[in-house]
Amino acid sequence: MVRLDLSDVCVRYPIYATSRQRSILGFAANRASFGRLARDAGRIPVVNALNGVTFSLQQGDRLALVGRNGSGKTTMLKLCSGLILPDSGEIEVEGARACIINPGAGLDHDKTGFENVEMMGRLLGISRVGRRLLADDVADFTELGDFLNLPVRTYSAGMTIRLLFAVATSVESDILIVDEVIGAGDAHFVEKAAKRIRATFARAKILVLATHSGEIASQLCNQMLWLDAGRKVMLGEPRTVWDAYINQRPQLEAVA
Amino acid sequence: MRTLWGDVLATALGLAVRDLAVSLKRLPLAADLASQDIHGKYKRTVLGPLWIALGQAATVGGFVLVFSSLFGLSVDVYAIYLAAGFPVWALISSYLTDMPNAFVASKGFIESYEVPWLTHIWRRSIGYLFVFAHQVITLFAAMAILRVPPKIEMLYALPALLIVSVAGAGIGIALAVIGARYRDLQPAMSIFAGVAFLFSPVMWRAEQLQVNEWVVQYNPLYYVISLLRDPLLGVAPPAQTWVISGGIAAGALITGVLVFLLSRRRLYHWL
Repeated sequence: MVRLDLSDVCVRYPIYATSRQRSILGFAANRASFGRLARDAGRIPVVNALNGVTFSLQQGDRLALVGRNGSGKTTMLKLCSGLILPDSGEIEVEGARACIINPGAGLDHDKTGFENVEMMGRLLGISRVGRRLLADDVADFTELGDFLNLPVRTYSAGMTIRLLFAVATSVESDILIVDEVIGAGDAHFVEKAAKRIRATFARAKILVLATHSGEIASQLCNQMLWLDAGRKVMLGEPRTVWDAYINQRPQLEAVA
Repeated sequence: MRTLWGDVLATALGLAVRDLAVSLKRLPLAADLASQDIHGKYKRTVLGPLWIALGQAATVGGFVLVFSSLFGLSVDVYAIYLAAGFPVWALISSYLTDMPNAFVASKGFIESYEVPWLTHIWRRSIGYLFVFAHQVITLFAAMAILRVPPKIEMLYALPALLIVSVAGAGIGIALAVIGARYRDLQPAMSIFAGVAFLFSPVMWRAEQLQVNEWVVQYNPLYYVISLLRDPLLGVAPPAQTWVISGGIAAGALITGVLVFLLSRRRLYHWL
């Protein structure tokens, strides 16, 4: 049984802006002087990233997260994927999770394309057999040919993105958590990429996808959550929520 | 209704235990990452990791040339003493100076992959052991050249290495957590290690110290260094050293675990 339930979840996190706030000497000076010295070390600003969000996802649910930049979408994704713990409220998860939030991490520019795929496969916990299949799959999808035997340093930006995209979309899991769909590459690739994304998402039993595109959301998702300043503004059918959302943001295109 | 601390510890404990369990199950991954770290450093060099042994030989050679007459020690004795002591010190010092960066440097990994926090600790530990093994090559080379026969007591080095690694990992976890929150911990630990090197019998011999014996007696590093160095010199470490080092290892482990537990909630935010 796969589920993801959030109940009145709040997330707050500190922002360390000045070097004194990151310094153990600053901390010591502040405490020892009862707040007189290194004042900024004693007053650390806190962001209320999420304020009392509640929703419940079951097998087959695909949730699109929309909202302005800074509304809490990425924090929500990181909460769902287990990186961040709620400060209050509860989150209950059943099922294996995987996230596609920062696919470029773990890329070693001195290693070849194939070596990187191998390493990322290991990090993702894929078995040896699975990794061999992954290598074939990546070679087939990216069409990078012999470049896969050369260091990633020699790749163009578009080629690197194709490689990362291929690995990222090979992730299989019960619950998939994705931050914005990567869009890059030439027209031929974009077409292929769209198909691959669809296939990847279809394999997941629950999908949480942060996006700025109403079209993608309505094609791929059955629910949409509109976040603003960490609060749930609206939760429901993608078209309904999207229409409400864009009426506040007229510069975004309406979904046909 | 459970108390707030009960809740915090219940979640943190569960997470920490799960983190430990998964990190141990995925130890081969830590080994792989360690191997990647090291080979990355020596990638386009001629000797590869053998540079480690060469560097060690140069350091020992330099010290012997300058200090053996200053200390009134014969070259043979001093060379072996240093060739055994420097790798031990380097191992301990690595834990102190490199661990504060363990989580900070792996931020990208942590964000993107479901890899346990503790894997980054094991990864570095394995790296330090690899370097240690290469530095000890210099010791064996020195023993061969100076015709010092190996003794069976050298096998004590294996349990000693285990205890030192446990102590190192324990303190390493604490340092990695605190180093994530306070970014100047790493430079501070570098200075500390530099001073500790002077205060510990690595460059000089404990027996030579006639005054200020407290420097050796109350220096916890002395016992840990001796525990691993004595077997390398062909001597079984005395019971007192085993007991004190074991205590230090246990204390370090408990400290590391506690610090990890108490900070687990905030840890990601600190990166």
